[in-house]
Amino acid sequence: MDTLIITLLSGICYGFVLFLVATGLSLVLGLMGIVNLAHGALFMAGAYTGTYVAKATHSLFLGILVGGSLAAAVGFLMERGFLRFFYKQQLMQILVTLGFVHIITNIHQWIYGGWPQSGFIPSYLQGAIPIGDLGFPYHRLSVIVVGAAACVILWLLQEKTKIGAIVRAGMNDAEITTGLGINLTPINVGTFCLGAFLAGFAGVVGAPVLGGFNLGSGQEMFFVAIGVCIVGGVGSIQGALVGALLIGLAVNFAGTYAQSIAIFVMYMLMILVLLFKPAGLITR
Amino acid sequence: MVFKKARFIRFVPSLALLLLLIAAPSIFDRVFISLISQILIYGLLAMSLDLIFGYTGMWSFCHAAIFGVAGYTVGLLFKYYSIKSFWVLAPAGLSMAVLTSLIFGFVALRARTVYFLLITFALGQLIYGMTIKFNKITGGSDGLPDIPFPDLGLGFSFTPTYMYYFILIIFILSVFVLYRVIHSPFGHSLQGIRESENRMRALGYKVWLHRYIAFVISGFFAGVSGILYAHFSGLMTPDNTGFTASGLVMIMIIIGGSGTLWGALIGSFIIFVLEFYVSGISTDRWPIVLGVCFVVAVMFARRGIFPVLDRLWNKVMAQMD
Amino acid sequence: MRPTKPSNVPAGFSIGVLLNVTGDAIVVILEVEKVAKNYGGLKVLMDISFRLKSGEKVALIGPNGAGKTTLFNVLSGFVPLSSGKIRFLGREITHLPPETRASLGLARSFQISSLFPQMTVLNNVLLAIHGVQPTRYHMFRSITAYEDDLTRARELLQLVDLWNKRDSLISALGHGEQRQMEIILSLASQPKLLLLDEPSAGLTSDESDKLIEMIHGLVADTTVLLTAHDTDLVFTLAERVMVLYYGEIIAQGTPEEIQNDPRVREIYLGSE
Repeated sequence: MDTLIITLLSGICYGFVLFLVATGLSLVLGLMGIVNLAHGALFMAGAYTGTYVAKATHSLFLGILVGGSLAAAVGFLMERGFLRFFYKQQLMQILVTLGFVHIITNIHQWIYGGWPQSGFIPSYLQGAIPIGDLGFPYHRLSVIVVGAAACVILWLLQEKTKIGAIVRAGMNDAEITTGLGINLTPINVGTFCLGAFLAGFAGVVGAPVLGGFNLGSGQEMFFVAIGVCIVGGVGSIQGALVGALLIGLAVNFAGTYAQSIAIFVMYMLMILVLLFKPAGLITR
Repeated sequence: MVFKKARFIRFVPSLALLLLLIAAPSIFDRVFISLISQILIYGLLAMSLDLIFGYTGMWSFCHAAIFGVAGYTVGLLFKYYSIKSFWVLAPAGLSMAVLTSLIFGFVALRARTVYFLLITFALGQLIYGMTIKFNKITGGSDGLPDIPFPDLGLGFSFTPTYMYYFILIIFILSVFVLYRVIHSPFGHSLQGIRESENRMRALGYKVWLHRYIAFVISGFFAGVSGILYAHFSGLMTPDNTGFTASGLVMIMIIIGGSGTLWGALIGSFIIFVLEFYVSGISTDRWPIVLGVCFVVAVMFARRGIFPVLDRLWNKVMAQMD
Repeated sequence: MRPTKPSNVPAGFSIGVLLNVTGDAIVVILEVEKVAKNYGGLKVLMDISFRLKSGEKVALIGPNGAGKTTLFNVLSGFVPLSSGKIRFLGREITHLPPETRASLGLARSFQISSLFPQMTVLNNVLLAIHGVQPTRYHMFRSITAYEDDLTRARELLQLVDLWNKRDSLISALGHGEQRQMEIILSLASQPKLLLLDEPSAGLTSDESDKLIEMIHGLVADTTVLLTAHDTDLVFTLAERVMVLYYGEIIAQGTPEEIQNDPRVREIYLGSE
């Protein structure tokens, strides 16, 4: 029973980290038709620099701010400096983002070396809440709270604001939206940067959940985020949330109760969804 | 007669290249021959991807995974069952590559364009994940080492030079087949699907089936190059199967010119020669140079090199007439 | 403003007359029975019924948004219908995909040219010819190595004076030539029924006249259903005209009858 609760909570916690990473990927894909292959690299950039700052200043908040902003800045540079020159040539944009994977990863190897790093947990989040004979760390609980709060804010942004309405309209039909005299460029840039910020943010708060990080973590996160997009469906906060929680729970439960099939669980979910609901569970 | 002559002149560059490749071992040193072997193997991989990527317009991101499946099959059969004969290993590797393509294609072909890319990406990563996670069997990130040169059962053992010619022969055979496929009615149907899918359906083509068949053929040749690579390098690592490897093959096609077949070989040549020289300066910084290659190729050379060369050669031919 | 529909045209009036005249002896190629198409609440086609006899040339006219292209898409299988039945050569094809309809002998052209721009003129035609043959799966012989098909392609291209341009890319052709190719491609498979969607779209009147002449020569034995804005095209080619108006066939008859029908003039010709 205790194991069950812990597994459930861990699954939700992991799910919210996934949600933070996958949202940006999903929105950019839905709005601009680009699979940003460097999205995982942005997560990694946030994790390295954000954690470095947090450890140096003992301030998680400062770490999050720096990590998220760095990722957003790199995202802005990618979008404004490169991607905008070939709108509608999705494949070319995707290949450019792949180029950035190599560049960003290698720069981090250059600066930080190749060794694994541990995440930052502030002193006030040390310790665990007792559940039966076991315990669930406070910092993981805080990730659930932060993730849920981010989710609510993003959902309100998407559903209740004018910007959200434009984003949704742009996903349905970019040409008609542009034809109505709405300039989609700032919306695209904003979405891209917001997604990048969330990835960097997830890098800082998610690092302890993942048990540290290294140069490969960005890519690992990215694969799972792709799974989230396929399972949940592309282009909405709800889709990213459903996909992320499902995969987070499935992976954790398999990890606890069926170790041997754990790495296949996400793929099984994905293939099931593809066979029966090819557009993902939540469709716009 | 004039027609025949024009046709012959058209093939002069290919023939010159062929002669150069045949003479290579007596011209270049061993390091270079090894480099050329690698260019040929990845050239074949890129050419097989071009069949679906450039000609059909399917953005498959699991091509290196299928390459890896074939290579790992060869390596595992050798390591655990001590099978040495090429005549067993190669068919086994190819069958696994084709089987993987059949399954992956079936799943991924439910989607198009970017979504197809997304799904093939995830499927390719499944293979990559397996090569790492099943480290007790596959050797994990260190890879599967000590795969020997092929044993053809003809009573002689391979030297690196033999290996080079072996690769060259299989490369030529494979490219010949790919060339024929591309110029056949089926090959043109793929190009038709890329350019106007609805028209193809209105003309009576079962578009899904054509895509599927192309995907499997492409997977077959990815398997061929995977087997060659396993024997040639003696080592299969997860990095050979991951999405960076698939992306590398894609950028080779873009650099050389997508949908041109030969362009893929040119791209392979440029990437490996560049890697060879950059690594001579600094091994650690090669990924940055590669990343810049991606960006530069996409921003400034989207059409690729082959069409430029082709136009140039056509001008030369026109001058000769 | 949507003009009100004339109420004194009895539904199915013309169809009834036609059937009495033709009797059973003439082969019915296409039978459309109460075909309807809704997009959400929007009714684009409302219970459309008509028949096409073998060898007939029928024009479908109507103002923009009348549902002509939707009807073509439904007939060729690109858009699923909401209700009704379609029979082609006595076989029900209501739910068959376009490619299967094509191999049964139902071909179509597109209002917006759908050619293969990066392929040569000759290969475009050859690809169209192979589409309904088992050779479409052949992988080893060059597409130009099939003698019979090459001969047929040459015949087709010579008809429109494009044989000399067989090695140029489609993208290098002019608009008029592309429209000709559009029709050549749909004819290449020797279909039993040909649906031509606005064959003269975007052509000058000279080009259009040439095209009409060409179609005249090409489709002598083929059953043709065509849509057009161009009245010349309609009245030169068609033996029968159907008027589609907001998803319903409101009148049909010989070109003269339609031309003189005051209600049609009011709705269609008058509104131009």
